Amino acid sequence: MTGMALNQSEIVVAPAAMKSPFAKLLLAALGSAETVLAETTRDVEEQTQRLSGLFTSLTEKSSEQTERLSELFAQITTVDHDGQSFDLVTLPRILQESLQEVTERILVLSKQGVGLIYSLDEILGEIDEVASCIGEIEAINRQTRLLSLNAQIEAGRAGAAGVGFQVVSMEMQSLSRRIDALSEKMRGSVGKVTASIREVIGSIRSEYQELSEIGAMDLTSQIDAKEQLEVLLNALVARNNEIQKELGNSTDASRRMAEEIHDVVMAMQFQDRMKQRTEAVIGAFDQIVSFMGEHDDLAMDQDSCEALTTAILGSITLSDVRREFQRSLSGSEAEEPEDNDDMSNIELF
Amino acid sequence: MDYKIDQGGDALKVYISGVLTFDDHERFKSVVKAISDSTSATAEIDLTETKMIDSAGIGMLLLANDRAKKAGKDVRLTGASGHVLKVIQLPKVDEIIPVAS
Repeated sequence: MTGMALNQSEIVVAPAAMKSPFAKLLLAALGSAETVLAETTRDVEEQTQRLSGLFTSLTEKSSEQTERLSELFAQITTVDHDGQSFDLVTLPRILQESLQEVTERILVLSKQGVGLIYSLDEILGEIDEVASCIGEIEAINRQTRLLSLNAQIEAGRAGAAGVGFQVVSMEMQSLSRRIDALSEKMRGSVGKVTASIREVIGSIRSEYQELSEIGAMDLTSQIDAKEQLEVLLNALVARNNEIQKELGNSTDASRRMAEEIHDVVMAMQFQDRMKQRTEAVIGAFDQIVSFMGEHDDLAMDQDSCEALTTAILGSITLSDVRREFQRSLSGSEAEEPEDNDDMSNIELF
Repeated sequence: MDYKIDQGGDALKVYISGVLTFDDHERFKSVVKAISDSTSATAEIDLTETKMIDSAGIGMLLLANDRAKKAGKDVRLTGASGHVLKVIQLPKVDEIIPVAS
């Protein structure tokens, strides 16, 4: 704090025995007034500083509260797992993507399953064609065998001239038997391939049946899950927006509170101004008390009193206080020298 | 599943009614063949009367689309609504086969 220090010990009072009763009364009253003013100023200063501290603390706590709210919000909107932090809002989206991926795979498998059955059906058609060809080969072979038998009979009738022809017909019979064996082998292979293909088709059908029984084929549950996830996602986004908005409001409120408290603290500068005025008054009292204590005999002297007036006015730096004293002491308005009581001269908190 | 094929206009029109599930794959083979063998460059599969479709049904539509593409033709779906439309949109089938309202 600037200004004159208040010190009761500076007040010098002349011995009471040398004073008139009125002078003693005036000196005592001025002394008490000085004491009361000084104590009041100290009280006001202490309480003002205390209030200022409380308000500052209030501002800091409000800011801390907003920060804690922000941290709390960050904590409740994320989930930590396996060293990774997941935003709750993104979780339904991740689930949706997983659901879609699973559904797409089901469809790919469905398409491939049906496509495989179609392809196997086509292969079965071709195999049927092969079986039909084998049947035709067998029919031709039967005729060939008959032809060979007839040739043998005719060769026997021809006697020695038919011996060579008989050898040829025997070879034909031998070939026919080999063709029969080959046909039989081919029929067996075709039968095995057909059975295998039908088995594959049967297992695909049975797997579809199982998928249908567990509901994997019917996409209703996936559609329901997707719709529920969308509802959940929208709700989470809406809640986040709401919390963000409330946090923003809280931050704004804290900021406004800090500004208002700052205004309050600034307004409390009145205490400093009051202190300076009080000190000016005490200073004036002090000079009067000193004068009366030291120059009681000059109390009726006009020049001495004017000198005292000049000294008192000269010691007052606050213009409004000086103006008031000048009006009272000399009965005229004070000239305004440079005004040095603006706010810049007041020590701020 | 029942189906009707109309080769009247510019596009081959296939009307599918009832439910389209795995059990219909043998009958649907005729639809796939009709689309592949069609002289039209476009085949329109009308699902207005389709009440329900499962993943195998979607798989058959995708298969028909694949075979049509191999034969140089385009397939589009029309008339889907409700559950059928949702099943088509869920795995984004509509991004593979164009869906007209």
